[in-house]
Formats: sequence, structure tokens, C-alpha cells
Amino acid sequence: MNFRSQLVAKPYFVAALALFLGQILFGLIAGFQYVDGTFLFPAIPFSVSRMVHTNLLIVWLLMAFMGAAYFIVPEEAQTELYSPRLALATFWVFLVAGALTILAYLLVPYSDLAAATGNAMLPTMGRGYLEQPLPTKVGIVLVALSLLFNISMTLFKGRRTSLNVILVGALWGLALLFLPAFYFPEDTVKASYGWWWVVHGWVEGDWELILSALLGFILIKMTGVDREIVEKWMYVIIAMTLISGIIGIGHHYYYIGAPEYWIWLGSVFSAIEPIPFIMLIVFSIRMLLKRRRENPNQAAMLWALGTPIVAFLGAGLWGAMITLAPVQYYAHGSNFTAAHGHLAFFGAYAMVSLAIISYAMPLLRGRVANGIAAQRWEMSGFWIMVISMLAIALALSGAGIVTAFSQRMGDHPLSFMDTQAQEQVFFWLRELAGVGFLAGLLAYLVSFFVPGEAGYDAAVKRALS
Amino acid sequence: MSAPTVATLPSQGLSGARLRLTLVWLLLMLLTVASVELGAHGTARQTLSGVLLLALLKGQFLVDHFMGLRRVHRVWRALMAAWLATVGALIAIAFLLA
Amino acid sequence: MRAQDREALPGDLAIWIFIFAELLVFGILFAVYAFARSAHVALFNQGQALLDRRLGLANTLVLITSSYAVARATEAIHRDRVQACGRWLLAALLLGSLFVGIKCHEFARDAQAGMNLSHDLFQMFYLSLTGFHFLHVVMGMAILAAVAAKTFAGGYRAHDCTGVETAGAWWHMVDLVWIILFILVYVLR
Ligand code: HEM
Ligand code: HEM
Ligand SMILES: [Fe+2]
Repeated sequence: MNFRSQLVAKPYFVAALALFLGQILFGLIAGFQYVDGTFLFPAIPFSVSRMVHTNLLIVWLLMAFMGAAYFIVPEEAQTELYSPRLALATFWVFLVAGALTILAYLLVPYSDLAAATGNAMLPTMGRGYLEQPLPTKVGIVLVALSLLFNISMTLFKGRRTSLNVILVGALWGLALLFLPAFYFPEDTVKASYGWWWVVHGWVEGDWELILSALLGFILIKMTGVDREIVEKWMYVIIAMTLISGIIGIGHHYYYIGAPEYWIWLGSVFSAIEPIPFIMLIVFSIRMLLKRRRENPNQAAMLWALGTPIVAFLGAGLWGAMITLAPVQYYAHGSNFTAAHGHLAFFGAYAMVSLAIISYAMPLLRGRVANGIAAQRWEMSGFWIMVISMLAIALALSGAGIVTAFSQRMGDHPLSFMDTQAQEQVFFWLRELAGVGFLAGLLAYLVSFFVPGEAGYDAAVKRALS
Repeated sequence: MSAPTVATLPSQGLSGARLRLTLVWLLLMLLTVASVELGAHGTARQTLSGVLLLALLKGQFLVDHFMGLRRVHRVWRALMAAWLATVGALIAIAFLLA
Repeated sequence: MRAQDREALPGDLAIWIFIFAELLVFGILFAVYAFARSAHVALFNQGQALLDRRLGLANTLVLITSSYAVARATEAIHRDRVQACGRWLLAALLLGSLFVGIKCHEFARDAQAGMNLSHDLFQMFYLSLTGFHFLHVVMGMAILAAVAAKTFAGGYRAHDCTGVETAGAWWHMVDLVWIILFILVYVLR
């Protein structure tokens, strides 16, 4: 860390991790409700636990992205952040607004919340991930504008690296792509369009740019490879992301009342969406092989390498399996989709957030890297979380396959509830793996409390003793 | 990447390289007109093999000379040739199935 | 040729991975087109009859010539002829604009003939294939323009011309893809 103002990233990272823990707890509640439908009813019905789980996911990822931006943009621009105080004020606004929203989900029936927050005036509530009441949505836009103002001013007054321009540009894209969330017409086809512009536009477009920028930054810093080489890779990865992802949105238009040509365009273009993820893997491994120095923060390196690999599995592989129109005809909206959603969100966006946190947090706490013991905790957390998430994805895939075959094919398809009963074993496995995931997360969090530091001082001390 | 360039290779006369590119260009133009002429004189079924072969040939010329893969490690040229062959084969199969 | 006599790949490894990814994309599109046609031969014939082969032919010749110009530009920079390289790049750009002009004229013609994505399978394929390729031409021209500007500013030398080679590799790929696209859509019917 070279600039004092980068310190504002710290509260963002800490809050992100706290919200992450909350997300997993509600995931476990929702998962248990799958095997015992009356669990916590009527205090927290499934619809609420699911909504809290997914909304916390989005909020903590945004927290982590913002923290990353406040950390990276000054470092790349070689200048202090334009206004650290604005960044800090924005943090508190975002945290309080987020917390109030989650509390409202838990304490007020959703319809009452909608009535109380002006949803009748400008309807926006109800679509997945975008359930937030109107004031929260407006708040998200304002918070994003504050961030964008701050980092854009920093970018302009300092050194303009390609990486920084890409990162700031992608964050602008994130904010712009949120705007269709305010477009919720009665026409269900158009409402679906608007929803996918946000959801698909984010995870299979804009956020991939953020992903490559964060990975690029970490790799430049940790391997000492020439910036020019890293940036060239970033350009081609971004180009491929956009070529495949923009028209690839058609894979959500198949049978919803959109024109028929989307069946072709969506299938072909989304089938190539895995390519940028493969390129990310090649890129990271090549940079690692070309490294000019050994970084003492081995844990951060592990996250940076794991991210593209798990992202490819979740997004590239699991996504590709359900992306062709004839397959989706049977698999749409099943737990196979949930398997894909879990592994992709975790592998790409949760893991890259943890990677940047792993790289930046020791620096923000005034050390080059954590001590060996802390890194051991962190790396155990890595493996337990990754393996548990793979297990969750496999269990959900099993359930999804049963749905496709028992409920949607054949001459005597089972009813929805009978199929669910058949899938109980998978839901138990998912819940078990979820407990494993929580254990991994706790191990990861413990690493922050293990004292000691690595780096040159520690190495010198060890050598002298 | 400061590779030995065309100019520095002893086997490559200077005017030779330019002449070669120009000849390839003329050939590509010629083959293009030829394939259109051929295609105009018959159904896809009848002209498929000729038109397709001409196109693949053009593709390989372009790869070898314009892209300059002729002198690069064989793998790259082979990859390109494989792409051309695969696309050609798929098109041929599809047209024969019709 | 022995292995050590072989040159390094012109341009960057990253751009070659990108080029192969693009070729894969177009390859899939071509195969899908061909197999869709085999199920609807009459429909495709009828659709292809709406196209003007001469326009397709003209554009093929233009693009090949443009590719030639880029090859000459690369050859020139290898001999450190900066001005010649820049001029060949400009020529390639001009030919690229000609392609764009002809294609736009053709798209306008198609629109007048009432073609659109929803009308039938052939029109969907024809418009999206050529449209997708069109976007590549436009993107390639942007790259060529940037490289030409840097060339004239003296940014490249014989021993440091990765930028020219990279732009060239991309532009040749755009041409290569058109060669197949052309026979598929315009010639074979
Ligand atoms: C990191 C990137 C990605 C993330 C985070 C992600 C996440 C998601 C999520 C959460 C859903 C479920 C949406 C819902 O209905 O609630 C979804 C659906 C889908 N995703 Fe992805 N995805 C990613 C990349 C991809 C890629 C690369 C592909 C294709 C190769 C893909 C194909 C699909 C398809 C086809 C669906 C719809 C499934 C259905 O109809 O039920 N995704 N994705
Ligand atoms: C970082 C880790 C996690 C991420 C990124 C994540 C992400 C998501 C996403 C995107 C959805 C919506 C998927 C959809 O409906 O298509 C979802 C739903 C859900 N998640 Fe998670 N999740 C995580 C961990 C967990 C854990 C550990 C559990 C507990 C076992 C869990 C249980 C659930 C349940 C039960 C749902 C509701 C599925 C449904 O509506 O059918 N999640 N999660
Ligand atoms: Fe998508």
C-alpha cells in the first residue's frame, strides 16, 4: 500500500466478509427448509430466507468490488483518492441502507414493504436479486454514483493505466446496467427482458471485466510480470467476453415469447461464453510461470489461481451444459440451474473478492503478508470452501437431473411434489455440504485473528536466529 | 518479441518477398472469380467440391503467405489447416445430406 | 526447415489465442448454417436468390486486396520502411471503408426487399452472419487506424513491430472468415 487514502478499502472489506457470513447462514436456513418445510415457519418463510441469502450475496459482492476499487484506483493512478471522506461516508450509507433493507425483509411482510415504499408509484419489486424496495434501489444508484465520481476524479488526476481505465469503465457499466431494474412493465416478456439485462448483463458481461481487472491487478503485483503483457491479455479476454456475452443473452429468451431466432443466436453465442473463462485460466497460469519474484503471500496466490479455474467450472462448464435451447427445454429453472448459479457466483465473483481481500488486507494492516500460521488457516479455508461448493453443485445437479427426467420427460411424468420427495437425498447432501462450507468460511475468518507476519523482516529474523 | 524477420533471413531476397505477396494476391483474386464462375454454372450439389476446394485453397494461401505462418512453428500452420479442413468437411457433409 | 530456423509467431500469443477463439465461433456458425440449410434447401435457395452475387464478389475482391495491403505493410516495417508501412496501412483502411460502403448499400437493399431476422431461417442466418462479420470489419478498421497513426508517429521499427503484426493477423483472420462465408452464403446454392 502506497497511499494513505487506500485505507478506506478496509471497512468495505470487513463489512463484505461479515455480510458473506450472513449470506451463508441464511443459505443454510433455506437449505434446511428444503428438507423440513416447516422449519422456522412462520417467522422466516422460505421465500424470505432465499431472498435474504441472494440479496446479501449481491450486497457483499458490491461491497468487495467497491473496496477493491478504492484500493486499486489510487494505487494504479499513483495518487491519493480524490476524497477519502466521501468514500467513508458512502460506506456507512451503504451499510446502513443494506442492513435496514435486510431487517425489513425479515420483519415486514413483503407486500406491506412494497406498499410502504411506493412500489405502486414506480413498480420495481419482485424480480429475483432485484427485490429491493424503491428507496434501496435509488440508494444503490446514489452510492454507485458517489463511488464513480470519486474514482473517476482520481483516475483523471493521476496516471492513466489501461488496467485502471478498464476497471473504472467496468464500474460505470455496472451502474448503468442496474438501471433496467427500474423498468418493470406489466408485459411479462418485456419484464423478463429488463430483468435479464441486469442479471445476465452483470454476470456474463460487465462483471467479467471487473473480474479480469482484479485478477490482472493481483497478478501484476504478485508476479512482477510486465504490465504490457497483462494488459494485452485483458484486452483479448474482454473482447471475447463481449463478443460472446452480448448476443449470448439470447439463452434466456428461448421460450418466453421472444422472437424465434433467439433460439439460434442464443444457443450459438452462449455456447462460446466459456472461451473467455478458458482464456483467464491460460492467462493466470502463464503469468505465474513467467513470474519474476516469489511473493510471500501464498494464500493470495492460491485464490488468484483458484478463481479462474472454479469460475470456468461453474460458469463455463455448468453453464454450457444448460445453454443449448433443446437442453434448457427440460432443464430450465431446475436445481441444475441453481447448481450452475452457485458454482459460478462462487467461483467467479466470491472467489475474486476473496482473492483481492487476501492480497490487500495484509497490506492494509501494515504488513507484506500474514504469517505462515495465518496463511495455513486461510488456505485450509480455501480448500474446504471450494470442495464444499463443488459438493453443493454436484448435489444440486443430481436433483436437477431427476427433475428433468422424472417430472418433465416420459409418458407418465411425476408431479412436482412427488419429484421433490424423490430428490430428498440430494437436498440432505446439499445441506451437509453447506455446513462444510460454513466450516471453511469460519477457518478463513479465523486467519484474520492469527497474529504474526511474513515478509522480509520475519525472514531476516528467522535467518538470524 | 524481436524475432528474426523476413528481411533478415538469408534465404529471403527482398524483392522476392514482395513479388511473392503480389503473386499470391493475384492468384487469390483469380481463384475468387473462378469459384464464382464455377458456382454460377450448376447447383450446389454439382459444384460443391470445386467451389469448396477453391475456397480452402485460398484460405491456406492466405494463412501461409499473408498471415506469414509458412515459416512459423508447424503447430500453428497445422492448427489453421485443421480449422479449414474441419469447416470444409462439415460444410461438405451438410450439403451432401441435403 | 529445422525447428530453430523457424520464426516466432508474428504478433502476440494472446492475439493468436483470440484469433483461434474467433475462428471457432465462425466455424460453429458456418456449420450450423450448413446443417440448417440441409433441412430447408428450398427455403435457402429462395432466400439466396434475393442476394446480388456481384456485390458479394466485389466485397471479396476488396477484402482480399486489403489483406494484401496489410501483408505489404508488415513486409515494409520488417525492412524498417516506416512511411511505406504507414501508406500500405492507409490503403488497407481505405479498402476496408469500401467494403463497409458496399455492405451498407447491400444491407439497405435487403431492408428494401423486406428482409428481417424474423422473416425466415435463411434471412436470420444471412443477416446475423454477415452482420457479425461486419462488426469484425469495423473493429478491425479501428485497430488498423490506431496502428497506422502510431506508425506515422514513428512508433514501430523493424525490431519492434508487434503492433503491426498483431493488427495484421487480426485483419487476415477477418478476411479468411469472409472467404468461407462468401461461398457459403452467395455462391453455393
Ligand atoms: C460467472 C458467471 C456466471 C454467473 C455468476 C452465472 C449465474 C447464473 C445464475 C444465478 C442463474 C440463474 C438465474 C435465475 O434464474 O435465478 C443463471 C442462469 C443461466 N446461466 Fe449463468 N452464470 C454465469 C455464466 C454463465 C455462462 C458462461 C453460461 C453459458 C455458457 C451460463 C448459462 C446460463 C443459462 C443457460 C442460464 C439459464 C438456466 C435456466 O433457464 O434455468 N451462465 N446463471
Ligand atoms: C458463496 C457461496 C454461495 C453462493 C455464491 C450462493 C449463491 C446463490 C444463488 C445465486 C442463489 C439463487 C440460485 C437460483 O435460484 O438459481 C442461491 C440460492 C440458494 N442457496 Fe446459495 N449460495 C452460496 C452458498 C450457499 C450455501 C452454503 C447454502 C446452504 C446449503 C445455500 C443454499 C441456497 C438455497 C437453499 C437457495 C435457494 C434455491 C432455490 O430457490 O431453490 N447457498 N444461492
Ligand atoms: Fe446468461
